[in-house]
Amino acid sequence: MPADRDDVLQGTLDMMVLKTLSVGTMHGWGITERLEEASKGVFQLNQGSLYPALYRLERQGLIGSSWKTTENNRRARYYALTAAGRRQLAIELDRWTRQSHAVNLVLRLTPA
Amino acid sequence: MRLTFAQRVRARMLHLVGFARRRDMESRLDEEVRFHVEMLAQRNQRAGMPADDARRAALVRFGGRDQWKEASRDEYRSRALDDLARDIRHALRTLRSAPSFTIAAVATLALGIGATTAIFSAVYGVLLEPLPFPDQDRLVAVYQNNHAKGIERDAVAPGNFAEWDQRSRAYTALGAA
Repeated sequence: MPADRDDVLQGTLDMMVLKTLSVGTMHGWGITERLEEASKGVFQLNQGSLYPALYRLERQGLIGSSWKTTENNRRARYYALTAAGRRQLAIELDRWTRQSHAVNLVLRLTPA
Repeated sequence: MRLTFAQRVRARMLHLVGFARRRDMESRLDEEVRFHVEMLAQRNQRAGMPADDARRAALVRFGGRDQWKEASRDEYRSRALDDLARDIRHALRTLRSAPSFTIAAVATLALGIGATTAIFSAVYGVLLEPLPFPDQDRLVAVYQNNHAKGIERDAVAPGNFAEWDQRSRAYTALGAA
């Protein structure tokens, strides 16, 4: 069980970042835009939480990064999912599905 | 995210490597921030904000750059060493605030270690330390017996020792103590 709210949010954010990167390699800004877009504006990241998450995932070996040039000839750090990251994503998705399903079941409780 | 033991070990090792590459990480942090803020400012401008406001809004939106720089640093820094240092400092402070306990604990430790070391040194010197002779398995102790008094291992009389030393061919060398 997650110890506190921060843990849940952090775990969910990590999972969403992994999922975003499973779609393609991109830099931090790209991930931000994709997340906003995909969630229809619900997840407007406090950008401050994205980079710690990226560094954490990289440290855990779930993503890799390298310098590349953007279309505007700027240097940016591009992140990509590793094989381990792909496996972890599958695990997390499975866990999330089970958890949200369970929560939904509980929320359907009616007074006896 | 709950990681396996292997994943956590790997993460901790990478952590330590990160400690060594701190300066690279710092400059990378800076560059990534700058790029991100620039892109955000550009987007604001495209949405119609004037250039200065666009950049300022981007910085605000970025939400306390130094705070998340700290958070990022926490992620890649070797937390193990910092935690150890912090724990040691805390322990020292706590000990200083309870002097009588500290003195009692230190005295007990000192007495215990001192006594143990002394006893061990004595025992080692007398019992455990091998004698400074080669071919230990060929060393024997020779006694004389006195069946009249019922003694099996008696100290050897000097005269006997002299005789054995001179006459006996069973021993390479004889010494008396």
